[in-house]
Amino acid sequence: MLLWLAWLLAYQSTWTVEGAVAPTLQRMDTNGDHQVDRAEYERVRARGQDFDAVDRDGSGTLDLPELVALLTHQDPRVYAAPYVPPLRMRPHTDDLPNLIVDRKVLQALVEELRAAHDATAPTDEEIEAAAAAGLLAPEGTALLDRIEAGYARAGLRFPATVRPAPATAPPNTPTTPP
Amino acid sequence: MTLLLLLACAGATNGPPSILLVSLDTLRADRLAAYGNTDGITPNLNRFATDATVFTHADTQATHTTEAHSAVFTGRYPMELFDTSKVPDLRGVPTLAEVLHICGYQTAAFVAGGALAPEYGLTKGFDTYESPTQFGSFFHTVPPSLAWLDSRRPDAPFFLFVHSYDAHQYQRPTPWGYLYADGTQPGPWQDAGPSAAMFVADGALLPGSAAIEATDSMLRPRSTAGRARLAALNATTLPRPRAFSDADTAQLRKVYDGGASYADAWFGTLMAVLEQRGLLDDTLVAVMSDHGEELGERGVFDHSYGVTDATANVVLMVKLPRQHEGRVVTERVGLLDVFPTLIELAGAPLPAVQSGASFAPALRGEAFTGRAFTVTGGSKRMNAYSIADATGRLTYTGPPPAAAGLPEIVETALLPGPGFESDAPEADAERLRGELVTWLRDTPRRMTRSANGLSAEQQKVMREHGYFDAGAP
Repeated sequence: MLLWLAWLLAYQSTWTVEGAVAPTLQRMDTNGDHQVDRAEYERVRARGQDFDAVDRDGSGTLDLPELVALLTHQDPRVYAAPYVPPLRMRPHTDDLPNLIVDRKVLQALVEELRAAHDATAPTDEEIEAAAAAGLLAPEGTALLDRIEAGYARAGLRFPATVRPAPATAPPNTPTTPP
Repeated sequence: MTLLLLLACAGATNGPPSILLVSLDTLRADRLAAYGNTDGITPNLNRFATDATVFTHADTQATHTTEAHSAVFTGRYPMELFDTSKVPDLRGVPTLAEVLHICGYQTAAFVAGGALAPEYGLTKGFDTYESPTQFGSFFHTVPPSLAWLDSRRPDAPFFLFVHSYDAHQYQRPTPWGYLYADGTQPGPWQDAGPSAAMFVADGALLPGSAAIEATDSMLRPRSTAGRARLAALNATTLPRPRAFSDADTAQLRKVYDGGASYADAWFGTLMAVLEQRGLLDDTLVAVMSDHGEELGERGVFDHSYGVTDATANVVLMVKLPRQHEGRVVTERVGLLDVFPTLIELAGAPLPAVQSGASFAPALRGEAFTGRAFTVTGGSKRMNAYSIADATGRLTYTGPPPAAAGLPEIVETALLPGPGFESDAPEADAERLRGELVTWLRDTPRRMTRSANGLSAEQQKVMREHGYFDAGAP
């Protein structure tokens, strides 16, 4: 029985649209960073769409779903699944109140803004400076204010707990026993 | 005949398989790993080959799209179907779609126009024959073919033919046509113009259009008459030729590979969406190319100006339903053999008059001899015939027909004079010559004038794509 099952599994062959296009993405990725940037795409583009039209999520690089969309132009008869943007890293809200300095949190927040093409999205240098200073420091606070304003303009939901709570009474202070 | 076929179908095996026939126009066999390529240009076709039977010595019967497909659809040599017309005379000739339709198949064809446009008369037997555009892509033919699959009756088998010109149209590169070429390096290889045919002589590009640029120091006509014509041409003042270097040739070959790769991505997509619909494993899938392409080996970038291995060798791979192991068949077959093979596997009756030989035994892993030789004809503009066997190839090229419509500089500079050429050892070449002459004598020719012709619009489209002889018959 197990042998039969193993034989059956061995002969299962699954063709996927992504699998059909993946070798092309690999060939385009000349620097081997598993992404296709604008220069790599323009090098091979002949009669294809402009990079910005293909880069549907505005990430600055092309991923497999975007290449599939280029191939099929999202014709539902060909590619039944809707276009799903790549999963973006979101700060875990449970972790945020305990974070004083977290570069990744800032980067994740700014990535959202850049994806929304917000012109005030902080630069990488500003992120570094704020992370180095700490989110409680004026540089950190100011950066968070800018990001929150950008979220509001873009109609994005700014995570409620992203701002660290200022230090007050130590937690779990024992109360006077009855 | 219809009643007889119906009676014959009644005795057919229950549950005939659905059939998908995919034609990648102009795809050279040597671009696939199964045929020796190591560059990974066609990963999806390479993957398909691992579960299919690959025929490594398959030849087309004509290096022209209409004629090649007519052989597949009828099991006959093109000279049995074509007189001087561009359109085959299929009166009284059962086609593959017709036979399968009578035996209960739902039949549909989605073609990319050009030499398979409905005007070319290969619609016979198809319930649906759609040609969404001229010289189009799988982008144009795969989506409607899937819509047809989704709307067909599920209780009857289907015969679906899907065709594309993606590899043919490398002179108008596909969306990522420069996948292998360097698109940032400009050169004459990018300026081939709308014509599908390009000719290079002694480092000079001769546009395939009416504009002629050449000097006699760069051309060496092979015949006295050719030299006289060239001298007459050079009596007028001609502009300097456009240089076309070996590097330009290499770039254009890479652009061709980009087109092949794009077609391959679409082929993989077609397999994937068929599997999504639960159809792939129960369908017989046959993949072919109708002819190859010369990529500058003789100074020619085209498939209609001679019969060589580059244009005659084709892709032919067949995956039976639920086949999960690959097989390689080295015995020689022709594309016309697809007709009796698919008829047999469908359990349909074989028409009494046809020239193909079924290779179904090879698909089943049984003993199979194959053909002693294959014969390929050039398109009418070439008046060429080629015979090939294990020892090599011999090609006869006659004088171009009067209405060939060739640019004169091409005719004088590049085409061989009337006669035979062969890469086989001398004794074998002589044997092949005798066999070819015998074949030409014994194979029936269509002598009566067919009633079909091309509209002015279709003629214009074909000429724009380098088919200079696409005039009215």
